[in-house]
Amino acid sequence: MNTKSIRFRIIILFSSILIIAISVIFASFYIFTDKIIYQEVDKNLSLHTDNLDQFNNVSGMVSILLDKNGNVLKSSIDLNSSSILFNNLFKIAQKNKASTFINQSMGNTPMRFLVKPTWVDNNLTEVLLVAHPIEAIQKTLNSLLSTLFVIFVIFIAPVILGAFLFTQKIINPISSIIKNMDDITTENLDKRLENPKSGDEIEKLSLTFNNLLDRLHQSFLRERRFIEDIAHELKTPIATLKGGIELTLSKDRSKTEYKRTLKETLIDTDRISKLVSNLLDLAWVGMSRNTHNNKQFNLSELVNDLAQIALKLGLQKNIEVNIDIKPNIKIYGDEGKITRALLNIIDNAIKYTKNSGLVSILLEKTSTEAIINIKDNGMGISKVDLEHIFERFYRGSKTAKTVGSGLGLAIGYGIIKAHNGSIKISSKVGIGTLVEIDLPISF
Amino acid sequence: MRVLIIEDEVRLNNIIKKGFVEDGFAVDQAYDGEEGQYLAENEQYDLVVLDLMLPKIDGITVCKNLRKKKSKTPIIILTAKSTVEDKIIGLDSGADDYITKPFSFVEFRSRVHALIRRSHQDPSPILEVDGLVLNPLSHVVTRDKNQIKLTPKEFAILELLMRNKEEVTTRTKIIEHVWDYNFEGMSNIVDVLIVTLRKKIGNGYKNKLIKTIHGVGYTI
Repeated sequence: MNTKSIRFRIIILFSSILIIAISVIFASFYIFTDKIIYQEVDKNLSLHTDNLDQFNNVSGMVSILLDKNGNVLKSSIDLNSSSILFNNLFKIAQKNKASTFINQSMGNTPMRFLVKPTWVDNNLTEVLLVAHPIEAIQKTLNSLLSTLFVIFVIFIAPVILGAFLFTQKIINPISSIIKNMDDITTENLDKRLENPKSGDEIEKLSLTFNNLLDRLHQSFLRERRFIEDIAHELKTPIATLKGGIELTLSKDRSKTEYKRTLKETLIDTDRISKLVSNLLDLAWVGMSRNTHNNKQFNLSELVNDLAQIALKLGLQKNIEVNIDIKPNIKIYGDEGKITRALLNIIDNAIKYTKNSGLVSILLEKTSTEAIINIKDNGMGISKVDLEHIFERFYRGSKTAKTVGSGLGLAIGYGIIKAHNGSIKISSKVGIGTLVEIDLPISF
Repeated sequence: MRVLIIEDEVRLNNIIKKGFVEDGFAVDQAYDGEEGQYLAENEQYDLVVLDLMLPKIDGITVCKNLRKKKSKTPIIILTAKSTVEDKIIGLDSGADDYITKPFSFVEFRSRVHALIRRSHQDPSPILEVDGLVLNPLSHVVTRDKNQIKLTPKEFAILELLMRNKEEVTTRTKIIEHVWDYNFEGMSNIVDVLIVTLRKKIGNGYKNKLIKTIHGVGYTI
């Protein structure tokens, strides 16, 4: 048995407590009995001593009178050579002024002696020894002791068994949870623990585990989906790349044809490397405490730069760009990442606004936050799409598959969140979209 | 042979087209499900290459719709979806083959030829009539082991005639299967090509093989 297991520890603790408790009860019982019996004997002895003549005939009772030197003056029995015994008792009498009770054997008979010295002006004049045989009492006490011991030993087995059963009852549900949890792997993450419906901590534990499994399962599915999406995103450019190369190699071609193929492959490799750098950005977002590039920077200047880019992008589609930027708003963070997030959003605004539309970029601050509003009067986003807009690889139902990687907003969202900011998108189909980004400002 | 490619990725679509054109196929391209379905329903194709994730109507629906309208044209699905479930769904919707991206172009070509062969119920990949042998994959035509050089269009007409040997192939059918949607030439181009084709394969032989059925078409 594992000595560190809770089961073992509970059994040991439980049994020890019970065994100690029983021992204490039994010991007290024995000591108490012993005391009461001797008290009774001592009471009799004192009584007899006070009325020595009257009780002289009590069977087994011995009374001896010693003089101040320890010699026997008077004795109720024949004394042989047991003067050593009296020496011992006489020494006790010399030390104590009051009467003393003591067990002492006379020959083979255990006796209870009362040693009563008589002192006159601090001089010991004589010592009276009165004794009762206590053989019967000692035998009774001894048999009581052995009975108690036997009872005690008999008790131990059921106590340990009880402790074992008790532990079993507590531990069993936990053991079954352990067994069930053991069976759960990444292959069957949808498996759940049975609810014991016991209303106790075990039920709570099961429910907590199940909730944890739910969350794990969800994130596992999300990750798997993400990896499938990545594979899918990579497959099409790779298919184009591979197909183009294989086709070109299938027979001899002119120099210009080879050149054209190489140019085509460059387009695909660009697309693949862009996807990979997007994935790296996502990975950055995933690492929550990545702050080594953080420093204070001027958000106003950054947004202004981006607005200039928006102006240029808008020029091709004749889109008017309204800019309203309050100066000298500073925030703390990774300037490159923030640029990336904002550029994604501004780019989307231009992309989904029709020719001669209007995009406005606004930056202001409250006492604690910098607020960036990017508004367009483009095609808008449907309610269904809006719910999923920040999901990785989510593409709106109306956007053509070839536009973008489907990662831009997910990355933007992650970056803003990593800077303790918030991003909100409200939109109406056919009317336009408003993206509001709040970032905490530094002082 | 005339092929329709339904694939929204423009560049991949062009590459597949280029490969087919070099095989002497007439190729039409569609970039979404709706356009693809319209073309497949209204034109005569020997094969349709179909992507699954398409704008407007997805590939599976296109495939099911075509089969619902009793179209017998072989359909080959070309997609990035590569799980067993996806393949089952694809094939069960009525497709004849399923290829996942990224694919080997050579394998793709062989599968395309195999499907066309099967749809014409030709057991052998090589077509043969009276010592005239045509290999669709290697593009080689021989008569009694002498190689005959043909232009892609001549080759395509000869292949069509040989696949339908002992049957009359009409001029319209030749135009439908050898030229793509954008063909606006006159139908006598067929007659002109037949004349040169007959000359090339019949040079020095008594049996010219290609016979004219007046007012209807040609047979071999």
